[in-house]
Amino acid sequence: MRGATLVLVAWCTLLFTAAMPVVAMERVDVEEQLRIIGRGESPTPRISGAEFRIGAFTYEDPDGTGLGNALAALVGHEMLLNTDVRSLGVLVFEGNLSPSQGDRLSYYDKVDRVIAAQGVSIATWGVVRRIDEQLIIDTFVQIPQELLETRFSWQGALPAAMGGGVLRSRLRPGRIRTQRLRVPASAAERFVVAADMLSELREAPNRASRVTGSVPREEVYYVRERAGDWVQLQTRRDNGWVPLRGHCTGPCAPLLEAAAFTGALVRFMANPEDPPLPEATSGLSADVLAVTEQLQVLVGLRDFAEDSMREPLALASRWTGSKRWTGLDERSGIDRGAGVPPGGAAFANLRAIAAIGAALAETRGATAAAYDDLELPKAPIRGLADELARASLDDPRNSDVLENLAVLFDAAGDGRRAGLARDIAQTAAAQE
Amino acid sequence: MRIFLSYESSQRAIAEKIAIRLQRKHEVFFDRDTLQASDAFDSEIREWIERKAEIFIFLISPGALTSGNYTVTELGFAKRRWKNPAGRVLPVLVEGVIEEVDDAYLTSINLLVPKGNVEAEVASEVERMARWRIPRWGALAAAAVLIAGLAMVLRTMLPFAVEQTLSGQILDLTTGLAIPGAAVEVRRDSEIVGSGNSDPAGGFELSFSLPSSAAPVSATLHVNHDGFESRSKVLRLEGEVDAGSVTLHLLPKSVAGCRLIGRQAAGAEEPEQVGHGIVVGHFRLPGADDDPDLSRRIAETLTYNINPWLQEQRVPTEVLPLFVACDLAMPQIISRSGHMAGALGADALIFGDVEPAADAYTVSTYVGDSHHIFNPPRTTVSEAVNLNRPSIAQLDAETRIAILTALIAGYETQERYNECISAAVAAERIQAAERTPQIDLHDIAERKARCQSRIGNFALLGGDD
Repeated sequence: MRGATLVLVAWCTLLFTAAMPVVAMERVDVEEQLRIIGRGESPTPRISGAEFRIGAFTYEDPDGTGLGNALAALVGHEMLLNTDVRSLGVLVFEGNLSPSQGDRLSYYDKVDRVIAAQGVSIATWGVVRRIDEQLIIDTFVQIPQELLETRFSWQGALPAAMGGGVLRSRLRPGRIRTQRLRVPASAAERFVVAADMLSELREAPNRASRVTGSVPREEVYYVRERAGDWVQLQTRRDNGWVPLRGHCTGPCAPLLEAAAFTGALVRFMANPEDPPLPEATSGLSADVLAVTEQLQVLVGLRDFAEDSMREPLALASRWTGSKRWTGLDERSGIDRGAGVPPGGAAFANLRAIAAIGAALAETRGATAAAYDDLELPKAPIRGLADELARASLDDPRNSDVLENLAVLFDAAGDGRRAGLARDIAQTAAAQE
Repeated sequence: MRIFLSYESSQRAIAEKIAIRLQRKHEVFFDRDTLQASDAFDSEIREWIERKAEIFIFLISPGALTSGNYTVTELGFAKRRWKNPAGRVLPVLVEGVIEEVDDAYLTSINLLVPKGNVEAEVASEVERMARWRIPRWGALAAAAVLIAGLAMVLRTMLPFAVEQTLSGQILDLTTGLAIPGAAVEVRRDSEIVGSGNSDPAGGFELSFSLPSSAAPVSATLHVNHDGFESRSKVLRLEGEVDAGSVTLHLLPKSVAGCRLIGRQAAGAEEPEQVGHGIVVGHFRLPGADDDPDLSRRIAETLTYNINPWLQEQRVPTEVLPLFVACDLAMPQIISRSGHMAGALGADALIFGDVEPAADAYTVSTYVGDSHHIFNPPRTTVSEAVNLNRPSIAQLDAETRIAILTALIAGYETQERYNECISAAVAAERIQAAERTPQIDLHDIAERKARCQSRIGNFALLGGDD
């Protein structure tokens, strides 16, 4: 394994200099990883030369549908070849993550532990079940806390005249139910065939072309060129063409939407200056819609106190407050549901920040004062803080919300509640 | 004396009469209903029970021991302060019957069951308790020494022993049915002073002699039966006063091993609730082909069905519920399942029937809870549950939400208000994800609102500084 790692590092170094997209995949025994972590040791990092690494956990398949590996291969392949970042590694974690009797650890815990130990940027996992004549395929995405703080967040200071307190927001939830896919059980074969086809290297970019080898699963390779729905891969031994999506059409196609969403999150991370926004497509969940719109708001907040603040304010208001949108979203085709939105008070938090930003923009336009001299009346700030405090009751451990409440109450001249919010925030942050 | 009077709101009228009577001689805290819920209010109550009060009066009525009521919280404070309630806690049965009092702490001492004027009888009992409180200041201490000396002199003039009669009933905690043939003994120190066996109706009556004493003496009632866990209860007996009547519920040995881990610390006098859990009891198959492994498979199914929803809401791992398989837990009387859950230290006990279908099972479930929410137990039916593969099987949303309701009540009772809110939000999320608007979340919404009113965040609302 050490030899393989050295080869990987050497290849990565070489290929980075050639400015080609470097992609690699490696299988990892998840049960062994958990045992190592359980002993208090650190597992050896895999594909450590890659700038971004995605964990793709084999779909739990306790019903014996035979699809666990095929689904992981399809999702892994989609992320590997369509994420479009320069240096990407996919770790395919194989093994059992099921909860067991007397053990409170769930999938989320185990995935958290493994990806933290490997320093993985983002992870996707799932469960495939067969109920009567249907297959139900659930897919999840988890983002480590550290990356939520550094790559999926915003923070900015109020004007000095308002105390200069720092407002902040992080993406929530970081544990995302990406998709529940229901397909006829008769479609199982289609997933297997589609996955098989993706593993074959062909002489030319068409299905009729001769198979010259197979895509290596445990070594680094890079993309030489693209031709339509095909990419040419260069491996250590030879090269060949593989389809980007291949036969994953019909009932298989929505699965790739889940993988594409994960890839879009990686692209968002990879381009911090001008992050491309992920899209919520109709085959995905309300969590995904919430995440995509939250990211839009977070990006929009970069123009805090500028005229463009109305847009993030309107976006955040779709999920919270008296004008919360409910039911089917016409644009995405996703049901927004009702009540507490995914991420708890995260949207209320963003809405309060955007409202402050919009009010500052308005004041700045009217007075032409310098930013640090701007000051808003206390009553509306207190109103926003009251609204945010109400939302925090459904999400009491959200430390972003509590810290922002401390800042807003200070700016509204309510020292008592500011102090209280600060105290609660400290406790909440310690528990995170 | 400083007295805290705990009562359910519906008993306010009688509580007020008792308070007025007691206030002639004592300082009484009872006016909880006129105060607004707030941190200051909570801390005042806590301060009173945990520090100021010398006697804690608990008015027992059907709702007083129901989870979510203030009375349960107040009783919890008293339990923490006085591990041994004798001489400190006065339980008064103002409504209902003794057999329904399902709280080991309260039933470990003699309940006052007023026969006539409630306030007069309570006042009389309080006076009796007050007489035996140790005075704190010197003059009274000297008086006490004098009285003690006098008592020793008087004692030589009184008979050496008085006859006592203790009667009662021994019942199965899980079924409420009588336990005949239980060995019943009263001991003072290690000496057996009276013994007998319970009759076919579970009843017993023991006559025994105790040395004459002006002060109450303690004795211990021990009950043993081959099929049940032994149980003891400390009695407070007074010279010329009859020992009265006690009812003891015994836990069958067959299910004693299903108690939730850590629920009762080894050697502890009283149960300490340190975890949350659901006991998954017996599930019957049609005919005689029972499968003892069904409860394990359903427990495993629920671990996957429920815990990820709670984890999504960041419920800490250490307070996630345990789902404990216990095939021997099969309530013979369905309405007693909540009591059985309580006896096992669980928030709920689920059990039921399983009907094999083509590739899966139809699972009919009873959810009985220890917080008296579902009475009778909630019944649900889950179709197409693949119990051959527990980790992928899925019980229906109604079953999961019923179980979450019991957990929410458990979190609330343990003052884990953040988890109470998180579990309520999880239930709302399940309802939305499964598109089951017909499931009534009214009870959960009420509990969530109560828990929200107890967290620090609540004090962030509506300030007027």
